[in-house]
Amino acid sequence: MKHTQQQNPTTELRRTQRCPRSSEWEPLLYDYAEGLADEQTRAAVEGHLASCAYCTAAMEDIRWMISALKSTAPEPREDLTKKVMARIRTEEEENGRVIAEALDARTGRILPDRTGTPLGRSVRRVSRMLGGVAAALVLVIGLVYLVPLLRSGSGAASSPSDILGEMQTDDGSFADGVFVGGRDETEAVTDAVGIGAVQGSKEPAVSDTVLIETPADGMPVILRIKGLSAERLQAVLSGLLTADGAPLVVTQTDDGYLVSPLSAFESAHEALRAAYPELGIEIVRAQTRPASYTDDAFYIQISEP
Amino acid sequence: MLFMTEKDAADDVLSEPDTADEDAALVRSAAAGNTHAFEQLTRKYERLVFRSAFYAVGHEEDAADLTQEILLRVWHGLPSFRGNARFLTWLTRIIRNTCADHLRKKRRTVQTESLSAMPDEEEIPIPEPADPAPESDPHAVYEKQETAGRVRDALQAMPEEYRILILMRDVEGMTYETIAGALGCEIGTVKSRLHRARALLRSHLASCEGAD
Repeated sequence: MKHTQQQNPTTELRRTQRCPRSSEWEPLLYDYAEGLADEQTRAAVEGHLASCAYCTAAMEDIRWMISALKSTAPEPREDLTKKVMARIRTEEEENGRVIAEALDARTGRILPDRTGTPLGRSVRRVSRMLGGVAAALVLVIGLVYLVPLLRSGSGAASSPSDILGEMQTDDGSFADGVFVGGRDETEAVTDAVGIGAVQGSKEPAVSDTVLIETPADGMPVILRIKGLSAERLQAVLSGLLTADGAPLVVTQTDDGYLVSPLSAFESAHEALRAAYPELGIEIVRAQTRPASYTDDAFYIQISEP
Repeated sequence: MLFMTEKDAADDVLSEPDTADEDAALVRSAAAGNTHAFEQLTRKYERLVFRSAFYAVGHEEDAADLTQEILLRVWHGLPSFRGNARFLTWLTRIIRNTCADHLRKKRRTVQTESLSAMPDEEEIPIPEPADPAPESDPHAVYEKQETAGRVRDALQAMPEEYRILILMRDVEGMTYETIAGALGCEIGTVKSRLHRARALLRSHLASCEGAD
């Protein structure tokens, strides 16, 4: 049976009577096809192929697939890295003035920040966050102070990425999301995942969800942190500031908390996502909602690092 | 070895056993602001990033843009990257998130456009394959393009965690040891997952063929 590189031999495989032990042989066929089989396995495979039309066809299928994958894989343009580096160097130049201001006048070295990272990179990170909205920065700063509260109620904070990556609560569980809602973002959300449908798991929604609503305009905000007590949530939220420097208004209701304004949460999303690309922060549509919920909801989900 | 040629082996830059250590050194240097170190990382992984993006979104131009965006996100995120995770693991997470963002935005755009203004079926150009050997036979060229389209469709239909395994092993030629190290799991786990991924891919390829 001969095939050109582009012909898929699957058709031949379909026509052949199935080998009763194909599931056992198949992993060995891959090893054989990749040249990874030892001598004993090679001899066994060759012996089996001599008498099994199905596995012979499967081997052809595997060979074709591996060959097709390699031969049809697209190549990036040659100047791709050059383009990326050009953009980075432009950014570097734009940040040059800021970095220069951070140079130690005596030694000429870049002053380290409190985490030991050269200040220039930290300055750029903060600049990116400020590139969104000032309110976003306020919220990020709020989160910086949030986790130490969650963890122990005291102690020095590590870098923001450490904090966001390890939003661990008192009971040792991981915080797995910050829910955010708003009519303005309704059209911006398309993915249909229910509340609590955390990426990679199927935990049901709202049993340990803390609900926060904005009474002024009816647009809901949900802050969902597993294991977070109501008292602690209120303590944390009361520490957050709006873009104007005013504290968020937090009022406890029968089924959650009313918080305003919503704008601080909305504007945080892009800045958080840009600052922490590895955390998988997403906005998704909520399919299910608590009884008190009166509008479509979305949340920013922070997946475990 | 039946399928990997000597050239393939020479191209296997990602299969070096010291990839993780080499990455760690480059990452440390790049995180401190060394653009040359980051350029080395970029050159090393640009093909994996580009192909991951291409097979996620199915469009070469979008994949090229996404590759740039992903690499910029990596650069910006390096100061917050913690050394207790492997760079490749972190990179694949950024690839996944960036592509997912793109697909969400694209779906949103499509939803807001008037259906009447849309063509029945979007024409997606097939990019040049990795081995652009000049083909004089038009039939061979056609077959190759058809195969590329089928592979693209089949991979695009795969779950991301399976697709990245196929790309690492069968396209980039990374060793099982390197993949296991990158993903932080045992070699046996990589093999069993890859086996499932390949079985699924073969099934998708068969479906694509059946649909033709």
